[in-house]
Amino acid sequence: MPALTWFPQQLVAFLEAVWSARTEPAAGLMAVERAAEALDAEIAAIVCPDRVVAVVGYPEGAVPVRELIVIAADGAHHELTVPGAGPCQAATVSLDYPPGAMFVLARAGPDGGLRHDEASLLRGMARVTSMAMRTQRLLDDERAGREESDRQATENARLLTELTQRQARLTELAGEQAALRRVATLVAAQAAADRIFAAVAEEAGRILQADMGAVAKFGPEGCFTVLALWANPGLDFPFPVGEQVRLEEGSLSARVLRSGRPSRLDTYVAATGRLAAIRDRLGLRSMIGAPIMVGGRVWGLVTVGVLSSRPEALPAGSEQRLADFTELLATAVSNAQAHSELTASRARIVVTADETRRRIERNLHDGIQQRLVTLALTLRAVRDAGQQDHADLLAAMSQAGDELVSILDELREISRGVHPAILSQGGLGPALRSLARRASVPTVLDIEEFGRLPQPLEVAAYYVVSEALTNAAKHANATVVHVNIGVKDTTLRLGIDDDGDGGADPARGSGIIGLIDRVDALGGKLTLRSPPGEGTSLVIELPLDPGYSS
Amino acid sequence: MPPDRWFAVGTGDASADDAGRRAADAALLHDDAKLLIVFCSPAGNLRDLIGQVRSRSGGVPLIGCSTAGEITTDGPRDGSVVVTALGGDGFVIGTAAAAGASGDLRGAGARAARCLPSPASHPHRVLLLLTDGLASDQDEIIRGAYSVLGAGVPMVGGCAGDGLKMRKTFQFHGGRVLTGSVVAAGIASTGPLGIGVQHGWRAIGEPMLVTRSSTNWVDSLDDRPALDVFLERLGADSGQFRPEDLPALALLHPLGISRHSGEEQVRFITAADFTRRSLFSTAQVPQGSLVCLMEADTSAVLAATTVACYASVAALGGSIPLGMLAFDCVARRGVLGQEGIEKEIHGLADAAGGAPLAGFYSYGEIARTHGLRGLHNYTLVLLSVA
Repeated sequence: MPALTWFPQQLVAFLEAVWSARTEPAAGLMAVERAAEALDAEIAAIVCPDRVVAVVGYPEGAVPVRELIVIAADGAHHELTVPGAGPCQAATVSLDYPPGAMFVLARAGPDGGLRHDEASLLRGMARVTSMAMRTQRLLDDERAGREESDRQATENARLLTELTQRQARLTELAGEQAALRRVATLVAAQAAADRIFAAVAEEAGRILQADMGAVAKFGPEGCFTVLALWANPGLDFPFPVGEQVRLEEGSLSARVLRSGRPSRLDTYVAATGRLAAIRDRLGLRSMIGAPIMVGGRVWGLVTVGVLSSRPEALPAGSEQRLADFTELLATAVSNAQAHSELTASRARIVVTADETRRRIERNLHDGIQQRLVTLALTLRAVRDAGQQDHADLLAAMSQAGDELVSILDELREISRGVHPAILSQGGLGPALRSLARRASVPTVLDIEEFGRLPQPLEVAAYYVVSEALTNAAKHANATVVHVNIGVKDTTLRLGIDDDGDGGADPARGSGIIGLIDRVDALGGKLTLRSPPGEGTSLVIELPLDPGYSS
Repeated sequence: MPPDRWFAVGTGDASADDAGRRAADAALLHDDAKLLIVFCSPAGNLRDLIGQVRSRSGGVPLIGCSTAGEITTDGPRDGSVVVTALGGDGFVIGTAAAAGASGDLRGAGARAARCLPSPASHPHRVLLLLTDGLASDQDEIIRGAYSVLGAGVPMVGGCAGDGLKMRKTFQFHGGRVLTGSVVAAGIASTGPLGIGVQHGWRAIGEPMLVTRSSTNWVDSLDDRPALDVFLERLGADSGQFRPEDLPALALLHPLGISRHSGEEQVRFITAADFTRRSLFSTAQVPQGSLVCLMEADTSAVLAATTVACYASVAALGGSIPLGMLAFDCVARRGVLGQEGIEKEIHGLADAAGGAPLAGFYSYGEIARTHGLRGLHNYTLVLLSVA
């Protein structure tokens, strides 16, 4: 075919092929392959001063990169030896792009050198190749930029999501921390156990965005007692707080007790007991419970629940959050409970002791006093009998003597720690005045008017003053004691100051420990200040409502 | 003691129950076979047939494909099985199959090419490729294989046929019967291997510019619907022309893509879209190419056969051929007619000098000896094994 028609036809076909490549490397490979096909060449390559961009004709992994770079740099015609194909005549044409690149073409055989028209075609192909590769490079860069931009946008979206999730989690954690702090503050202030339980029920319910929260304690014989209950404002939630309820098989409480692990109840369990009836009436859709572990034993549980009017059950992971919360609370809760129990126990001790004293008082009045009256009457009758037989008189005297010994024995038996009658009859003010009068150290009283107080308080205050006066006389060598007492708001305040030696130390076994116990038992507070040589100052504060029921 | 290299062919009637066994027994002259090559008619139970061959050859590497007619020393056949065995320590063989090749023809070509062994003691090498004759762009297979082998290793082979049904061709590898695949045998030999290629077609009329094409579809020639231009050039009335008459006409008039050497690269038109007025070729016709309509006559085709034979045997450098493999375009069968192809086969047998001949009528021929191009149509490709 005449070169005149052959040349443009080949160039057009080459151009069509190379421009169909989608990337710069693909365009390079396409160019060398199509040039080799068009010119029946064994080798075609695009060679830069430092690398081979594209090449065909050598076995895989056996491209003589250095030889090709040398030939490309020289630019002159060379002979290339291709294993298996023999010597090839190499021609080179420079490319506008990539920078410094050469198009190398080598054909086997004695007439392997390019004819004039073929060399022209190669130059044309080189121009097309440069343009196509440069364009592809721009497109590649643009594509890479777009991909990078897409990647960054995706990354930003991911980071934003992560940040939002972290912020939400932080808010949650902050909520949980605040809740814990509120409960911890209550515990530190030694608030009443009921208040702490109520706080725990409410905080747990609120943190998990539930409709109700409760704290319950497991009792003996398969029962539990709901200690506190919180429900979303506006919800009528009649649960038997304080009442012992029997555990039912399959109930959340039973599962928590048995497993000692958090548990969930998402579906309605067909049960027929009291709990099921309550749950049915309330329409609880989803409940979770976590155990309160005290001393390695399941002491109770904290439970939260949502109503069936909610579209979704409590979310996954709620168990762990409740468990974390409960675990942190367990210590506080058990401390509060232990404290509450101790206080109640001490109160009971005091009440028992005081009751004993009242019984002794009655015994004295009803027993010994009556016997003494009887004895006096007997003796008066003996006297009035006048000239009686000496033997009869002796017998009567002997009987009276025996009766006196018997009364003395009984009196000795019950004489310790008797309620002064004046305290139970006249109240704290007159009793303290009587005490001050009998004291061996001059005592100045300053008593506000406040009427009668609950008996345990009056008894405690009386004995505190009594013990303090005894201490002042026996240990402190005081010359005067000032006692002031008054009621402010809901607290009875008692101050006792002496001018003695000071240096009183509860640890050294003074009677102060007994005072501390007594004050503690009533939920009160005792402050002792006794620097050596500066006298002793006691301040006692007793709540008017001691927080226990006898 | 068996010879260092041997080449034997066995044949059988594919419809016979024991065709595979009989052909294998005839080919397995000695017990040191290194490669079996099976060409057979697509009719019948191919899995059973390959199983029969394997029952005789055991684990000897096997490749093969379905055909549009088989070739042996005795002449052209249809409905037969031809088993060729290469044996002896003079051959070192590797085989490969790239299944599901249609999605990545270049990758399939590269994978197939990697089977070629390269022992220093066996310096003569060739890659034998058998491909799916209905795959879209067979040039990509050649490019893929070339990227692995480079210019130093020639390729030969053919595109599998299906008796001109143009529906599905089969390739064999080991005991497997594949479709849409490339199978290959890398042959390294102590003896020379000679390749001959020739078609004998000539251009008629003025060249035409391919103004629109995509892969195998030629949509327009000189900016007019390709089918209309094609029919007009051949004197047919494009308005009255019946689609069922196209294969016979197209078979005798392929497209020739102009080459700088003056020898056209022939492209076989196998179908047309009468709505879009497009032509379909088994190989790519690049947009921007100049193409001619081509024709041939019996004498030109037979003259080409002679040239191919001469080139193939001459490439042996004086060695005597042990056998010859032929990949002959099915369209040449159409041009030559029964008498012509018998004459052609006898010519081949003579050129082989009494050595056995095996081959098949193909949908495309592969011969790459020089440059990168390796896919042909309407061509006879011969591999002489010395």
